[in-house]
Amino acid sequence: MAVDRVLGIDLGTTNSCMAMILDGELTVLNNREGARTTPSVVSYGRDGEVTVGTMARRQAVVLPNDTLFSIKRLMGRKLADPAVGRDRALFPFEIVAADNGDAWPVAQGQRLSPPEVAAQVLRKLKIDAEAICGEPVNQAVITVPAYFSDAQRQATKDAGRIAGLEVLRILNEPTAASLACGLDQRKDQTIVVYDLGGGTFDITLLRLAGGVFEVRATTGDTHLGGDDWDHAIIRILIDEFKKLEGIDLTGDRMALQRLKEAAEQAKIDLSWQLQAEVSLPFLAMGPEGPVHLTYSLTRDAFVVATKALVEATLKPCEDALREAHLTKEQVDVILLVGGMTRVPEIRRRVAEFFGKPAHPGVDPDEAVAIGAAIQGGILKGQVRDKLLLDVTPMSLGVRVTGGMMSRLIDRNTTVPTRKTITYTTANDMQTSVRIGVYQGEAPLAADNIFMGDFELVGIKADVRGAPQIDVTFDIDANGILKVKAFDKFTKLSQSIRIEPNSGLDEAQLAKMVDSAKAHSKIAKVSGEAAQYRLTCQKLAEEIARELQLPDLPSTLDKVAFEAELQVLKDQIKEAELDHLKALLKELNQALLRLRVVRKHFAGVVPS
Amino acid sequence: MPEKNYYEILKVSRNASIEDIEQHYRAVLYQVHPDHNHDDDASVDATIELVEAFRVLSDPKARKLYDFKIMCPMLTEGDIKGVKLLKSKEKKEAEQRFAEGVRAFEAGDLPKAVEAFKVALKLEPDYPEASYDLALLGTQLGNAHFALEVLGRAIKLRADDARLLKLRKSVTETYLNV
Repeated sequence: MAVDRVLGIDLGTTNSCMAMILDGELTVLNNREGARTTPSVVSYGRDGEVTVGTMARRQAVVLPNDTLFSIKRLMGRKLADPAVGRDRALFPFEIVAADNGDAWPVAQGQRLSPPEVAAQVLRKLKIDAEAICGEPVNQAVITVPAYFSDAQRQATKDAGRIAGLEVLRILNEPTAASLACGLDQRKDQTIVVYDLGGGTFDITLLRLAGGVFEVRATTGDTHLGGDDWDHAIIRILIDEFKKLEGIDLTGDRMALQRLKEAAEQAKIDLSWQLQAEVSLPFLAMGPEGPVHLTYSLTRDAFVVATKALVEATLKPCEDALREAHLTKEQVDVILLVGGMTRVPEIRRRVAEFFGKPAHPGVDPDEAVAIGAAIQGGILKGQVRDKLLLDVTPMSLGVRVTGGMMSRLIDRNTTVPTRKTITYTTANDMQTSVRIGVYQGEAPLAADNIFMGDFELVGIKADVRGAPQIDVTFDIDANGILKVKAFDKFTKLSQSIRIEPNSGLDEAQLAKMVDSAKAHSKIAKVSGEAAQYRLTCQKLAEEIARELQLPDLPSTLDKVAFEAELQVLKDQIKEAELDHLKALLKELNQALLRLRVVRKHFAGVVPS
Repeated sequence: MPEKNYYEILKVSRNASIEDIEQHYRAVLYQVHPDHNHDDDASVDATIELVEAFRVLSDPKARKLYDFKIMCPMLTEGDIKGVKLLKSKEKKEAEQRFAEGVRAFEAGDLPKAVEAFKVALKLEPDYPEASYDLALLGTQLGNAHFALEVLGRAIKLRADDARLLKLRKSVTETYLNV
């Protein structure tokens, strides 16, 4: 039956992956391009067309300011968040504040909410999955880092809804990975999951016994990941370029976009080579014309530049062990998840820390999606021999007199859970109380994450301390909170599902769901050659368009350039795949040349 | 509605081993957890209850304290024995204080309860129910010696009160031999 299809989705910072139970078999689904993972990149074209995945990534050069990536790092976050501030400096696209202070990216001059952008990725996965199973796919289990806050979870759930998916469960990534690694379930064992992805880091300790996967402790950093390793390389390259050419590339969005890509590639190369070559032609304009960057990055230099980042992941390992009352020796299995755990130095340090090598049976890119599909199977009754018990990653409480945080639920409490505490009034004749809900470990409420508030009115006027108000926190299996306040005397009660006060309200969401439906005419082009051809054509059009702009510098021979472009354009129609790849490269360079010249002479009146 | 005790929730006997408890916990979990059943309030409630029961009974110290709690429940007005005729003014007052203490105890306001029981005993030293609850409070506040002192005085006056004797035995076993 069609309704039983549940798509397991690992919505990653850099790449996303999907899996499903097909004919009783767990299967990682390829996307339409034939790849097992899809870049979490969304590009907004001038004509309103939205491209997602590999194609969007290729367009990053054409539309550096309108191609959005690493959106997961903005989900459910405020612009004022220092972590967002750091990203802003290095991202080629603009990030602004939404009306409520949320960090929203900008593409084609439009502010977009992060769930809306993430929904584009989810929608592509949904459509590609439907193409494989030949049936509509309307339900999903989507994973998030274990250390995601309530607001970040809600934002992810909203993204699913905008994409037309009913999100059956928001599942923690490390827990999902542990479900997927095919451990012997009859054996009692303690598992540690070290999950270093593109943008987030999590460490989770679980106990597996009798088919029950019970999370004991989880901690992490939602803003530490592969992106930071890339940034370390970008910094090396920027410094090098400044030293050699005297040009500062910070703030040059186009150059940053290209540096980012080159850094990512260098990082990947260094996982299996001792040296990576970076070659970026036409990176900037020097006094004597366009300047290129060529640089050899050694693995040693990379290790030195990222040493502090690796160390930053080991402290949470210690914390998690302490909280679960376990020693390193008691850990039986180490699972490494997330693309970053391919980096040899990270594998080496983690093995050194725990005193044993990692479990070999996990594909760091696919385990999480497979786990999500298994959880989907559990919820649909297809998988009967596994059960997951997760925990809430952060403490939850309310603000009380003096601005202190009164904790109702401690972190690492098994969910679902419920807790009630009775509070009273602080002033005589007080007839209403405001319940402010916070998430975090700091003793002062203001130092924690504000989740929302509501007011209980109509309390009987009495001396302070007399009224009794029960506040109940309910956390469901998704880790999402519901709060209820109840006045024992008047029997009045008030309850809310905590909506991230940042996030999208019901009306906004409904509007986005509709508009996403209307725009679902994603180009149905299949075959790699056809896609390359399309990208080449787009690039050629873009170059032609930019050639017609009025501010073309006189130093550029427009006629020669146009002739050159025409030659390339003629070839695009008939070219084979390899030829198309070469053409794409040439077109890219032509565009870069054009832009770097224009930028340099911008505002200079031709003499 | 009488609450089920943790042993009943986990479907194990009172002297079950930790291995038994773990095994039953997982078996019951499969039966009640919303992921494997109807995702409704009842199964969520049952899971929350089960997880809490397991949390307590799988921790030897917490289990011991829980055992103590179900072995020695608080005494309320309904438990008061003996002749109620010919009450003196002091006795009536003591009974009021006792009721006040029980209410404070139930509301979790332990210091207020301690005060109320102490006043009740001052007004009427031969008041086994008040002595019993005050001793119980002492253990909850972590002062077993205070509890035994209170019980000792009460037993001197009522050497035949089985409740007092049982509480003294439990306090000694639970709190002094750990």
